[in-house]
Amino acid sequence: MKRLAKLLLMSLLCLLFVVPAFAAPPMQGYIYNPDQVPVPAPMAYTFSRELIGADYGIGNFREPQDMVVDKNMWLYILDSGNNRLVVFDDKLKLKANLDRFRYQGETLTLNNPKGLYIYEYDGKHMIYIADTENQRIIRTDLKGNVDQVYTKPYIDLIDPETPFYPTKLVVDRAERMYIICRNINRGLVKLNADGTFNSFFGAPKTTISPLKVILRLIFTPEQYSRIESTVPTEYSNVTFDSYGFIYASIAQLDRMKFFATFDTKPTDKDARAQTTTVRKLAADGTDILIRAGMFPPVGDLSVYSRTSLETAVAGEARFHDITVNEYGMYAMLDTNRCKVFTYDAEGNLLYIFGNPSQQKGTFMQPTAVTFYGDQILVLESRNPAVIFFRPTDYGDAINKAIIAYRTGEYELSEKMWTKVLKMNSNMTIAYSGVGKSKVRAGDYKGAMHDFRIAQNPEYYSRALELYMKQAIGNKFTYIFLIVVGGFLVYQIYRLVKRFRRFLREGVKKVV
Amino acid sequence: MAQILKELKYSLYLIFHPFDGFWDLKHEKRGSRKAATVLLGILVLLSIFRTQFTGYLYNQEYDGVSLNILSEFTTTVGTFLLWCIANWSLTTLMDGEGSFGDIFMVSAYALTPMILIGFPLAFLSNAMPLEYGAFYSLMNGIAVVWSGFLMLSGLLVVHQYTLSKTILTSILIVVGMAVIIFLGLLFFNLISQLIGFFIGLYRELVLRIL
Repeated sequence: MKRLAKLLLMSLLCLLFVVPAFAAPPMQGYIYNPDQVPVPAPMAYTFSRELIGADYGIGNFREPQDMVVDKNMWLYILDSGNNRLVVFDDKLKLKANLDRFRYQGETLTLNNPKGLYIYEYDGKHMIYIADTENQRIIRTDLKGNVDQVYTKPYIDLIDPETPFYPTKLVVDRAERMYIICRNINRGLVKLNADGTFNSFFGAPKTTISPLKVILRLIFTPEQYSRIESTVPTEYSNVTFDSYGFIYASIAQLDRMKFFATFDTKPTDKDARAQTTTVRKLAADGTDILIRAGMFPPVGDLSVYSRTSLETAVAGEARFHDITVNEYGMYAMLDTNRCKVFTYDAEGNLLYIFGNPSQQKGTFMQPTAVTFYGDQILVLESRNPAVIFFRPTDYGDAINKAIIAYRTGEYELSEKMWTKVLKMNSNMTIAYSGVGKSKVRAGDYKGAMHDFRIAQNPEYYSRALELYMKQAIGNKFTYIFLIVVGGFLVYQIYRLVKRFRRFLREGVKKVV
Repeated sequence: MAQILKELKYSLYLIFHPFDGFWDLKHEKRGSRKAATVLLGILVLLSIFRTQFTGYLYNQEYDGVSLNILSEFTTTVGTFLLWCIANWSLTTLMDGEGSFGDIFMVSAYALTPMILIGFPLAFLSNAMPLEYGAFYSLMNGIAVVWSGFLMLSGLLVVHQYTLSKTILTSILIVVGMAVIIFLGLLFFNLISQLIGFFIGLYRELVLRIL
């Protein structure tokens, strides 16, 4: 009897620890409305699969640091902890597992490499690896034959003792390299094809406050050195878009500037350029990114809120990777909150996904993000895996709407944006999208209505201008004539009246 | 009726000849308090009209549906009456000649340019892209400056002040308005605390003693 009671008690106790199982997706989507408040949205991307090294019999990845997809949809993973490069083809079959490289009869190995770039122009196919701890960049083919090793270049602007730690790089068509170096903060190091130093490129501007100038005059060097120094922000990653512009992400966000840009309008271009999380660098190193969205591309806006929609991590986004597709959409990886933010070419926030967790389809310590067709891949380094996210119906509709607009299929674009709106009426930019298509179709009145809902004064103004041209346009001459004619007739009428009074009453009373 | 129309029409003469105009307004009985009240009513209409019908580009904070006529009414009439009361309170002490009725009348007539420019501008703003923003603010500025000038000259004429005294007085009037608002809020706050106290007292009595 006693044993029975014990058993019963035990089973009751067990019941206490039963956790109900949830079948809901692991994360809830959200988007920011024009008032900068997060509102629920459908998930645009959802976990589809993950790729781990053990599945291919090559052992798990260890702290992989970079991932690139080339034009043939081959996937290159820089498995930094294992000092190797792993290559998969477009069917995700293992193609290469390189940990030894041959160079002029010697064998080279990597030492904690951080960056990877695939050069694919004019029929050439070369892999550049930033072999960070070995202080060099090697250029190899898929078989591990290295044809070039770039070591530290001579740079007359910096101390010759400074070590050379290349972390990320891109290579342009003329084989010039743009390299992020860990301890050089003057922008990207631009090297010629032969490895000689060309210039620093796209240095982030630092501004020095007037107060500091005065302090420098007053203080002794010892005192001044105690003040927090103004160091230019370093780029965290670089990538090329299909037109040859460099997109560079910045991990550190200046908090003051971050908050200062909140109330900027899309037209305040200079003010918005102050907060830089990403730059689009033209050939002369100037920033030409369009920031015409409702808010600048800074990731999460309410950085200290603890709403249920966002994770309870405080602080601004720290963007460690960026990827651009051929339609100008770019996705940025926020390693602070483990999220991917995707923006269109104008800087409108399209969707947010990702969550810091141990579940499948979430990531704790992401290192790289890349577009893979219409999928988005995230490289996770703590539980090393490549995580594949595929677009949901909702995400697919957004992508298609933007692509259709870029390729000139305005009707399709409008249809897709309408579909988006059916799934998420919080999606303000969808109204802008519908409006833009209507402008192209000549329905200016309808477009104005949509832009008003989207709270997009700039486009509203353009649509209004076109509408006025359409409505008045050639009739303007007539309107002008009627107004001027009416005025003249009235003046003549007054004169006549005066004249008749003059005839009736004589000079004195009239004048 | 015809009388009021005639008095209203006088405002069109007045805005171009302020010194003569205000003198005649008071001494020749060219205007009346009734007409001034009508003008004030038109001002209320204007503020409603502006909120509701100004083009989206120049009215971005307004969502198109949340218009509150009562609050438009109170803000317009309230500010106007506040101005008149502060004006009267100060000018009585400062040897002003105008009565409260005069002040009311002069102030209402002085705001005519706002009406004349405000209505067409609100209407036209629907057809003005952002490039015309400068024109929009220019017209608004003209309306405000013109009305302000009329207000000053009206004050000058109706109280028989010198120019410097007029300017000093109008600054003091604005300060006076602020003081009135402050006193009003203080009074409101104290009263509500007093009422709260008595309600609390009543509850204590009812719950504990009875």
